[in-house]
Amino acid sequence: MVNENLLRAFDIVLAISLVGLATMLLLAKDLFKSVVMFIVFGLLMSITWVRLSAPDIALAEAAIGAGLTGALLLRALRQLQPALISASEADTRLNEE
Amino acid sequence: MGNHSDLRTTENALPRSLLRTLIAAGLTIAIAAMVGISMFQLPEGTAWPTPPARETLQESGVDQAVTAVLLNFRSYDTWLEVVVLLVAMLAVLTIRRQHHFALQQTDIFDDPVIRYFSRLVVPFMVLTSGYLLWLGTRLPGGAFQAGAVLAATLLLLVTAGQAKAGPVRSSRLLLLIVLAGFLAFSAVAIVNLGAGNPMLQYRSGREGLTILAIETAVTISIGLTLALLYFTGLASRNRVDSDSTHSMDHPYDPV
Repeated sequence: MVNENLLRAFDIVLAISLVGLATMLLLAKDLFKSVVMFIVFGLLMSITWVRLSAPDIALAEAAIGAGLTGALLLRALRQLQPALISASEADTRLNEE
Repeated sequence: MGNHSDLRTTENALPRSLLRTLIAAGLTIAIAAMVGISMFQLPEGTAWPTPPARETLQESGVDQAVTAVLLNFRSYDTWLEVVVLLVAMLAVLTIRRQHHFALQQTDIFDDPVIRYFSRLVVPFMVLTSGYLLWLGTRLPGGAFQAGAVLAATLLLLVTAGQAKAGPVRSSRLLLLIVLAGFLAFSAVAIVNLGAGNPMLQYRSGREGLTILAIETAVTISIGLTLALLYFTGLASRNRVDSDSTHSMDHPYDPV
């Protein structure tokens, strides 16, 4: 068996990251960053469902919450603000160089 | 386009938006408080599956309690959930002013890595989808999860340019597949009502088979519907744009 204390520590880290990530994605100035953080949020949420012993919800969360909703949000964002996306792409390109 | 270009600065300029934020924050906190309070009122130590579900599990036709509840004990709920997805599809068709379905992507990621990766991974995704569906009768899994994986497969196929579907001519066929889950439930209901039984009763001894048949139809429906939520409107949007002069749908243009 895995150490009980270790699991509890993991749960606490998970809970703090979820709330922290939710706050960050709501307050982010860049909507593209918000969407990326939402996808990460979905993945962490999926792990949370596993910890709450609901593996079927975890599967649905990973596939729909993180994957498909992310794709839909990215599409909606592109339709709303094409300038914003090209700007953030230019940013990442600059950062990579 | 001018008033579209910066949503964030206009947001801060209006004092009315502050009021709106406060109302939204208040409602959110109220809901969070209600959920928090109800959490402490849960009865202690209720093991899942709860007694009524546990006792009748053998009669349901499947060995997994969640699937038994979703597809047998409370199949009415699932039937209406399929309708919720159809309504979402209808909303997308309305907003994007579409009269037909099409699995089409205008700007394909023409990238050798993505093309190779999709070719490699798509067969396994289809396999995973089928496995999740089959697994749902015994272990966590089922129609919704399998449908989501199927939708992701379609998304990958079309965006990677593997499925050169173009505008699918027979959008009637797509419509039929979108409706398949709803129709499967309806067929069971009609047969039962014709025979004078309760609406969603499964024939004794055939429960497992009926559930699997309905789940297969629902999986394919959900998979296609979720993918169409993404793709609907992409094709025509581009066609309209090439006619007009503004370039709102070309994000790679320098602004």
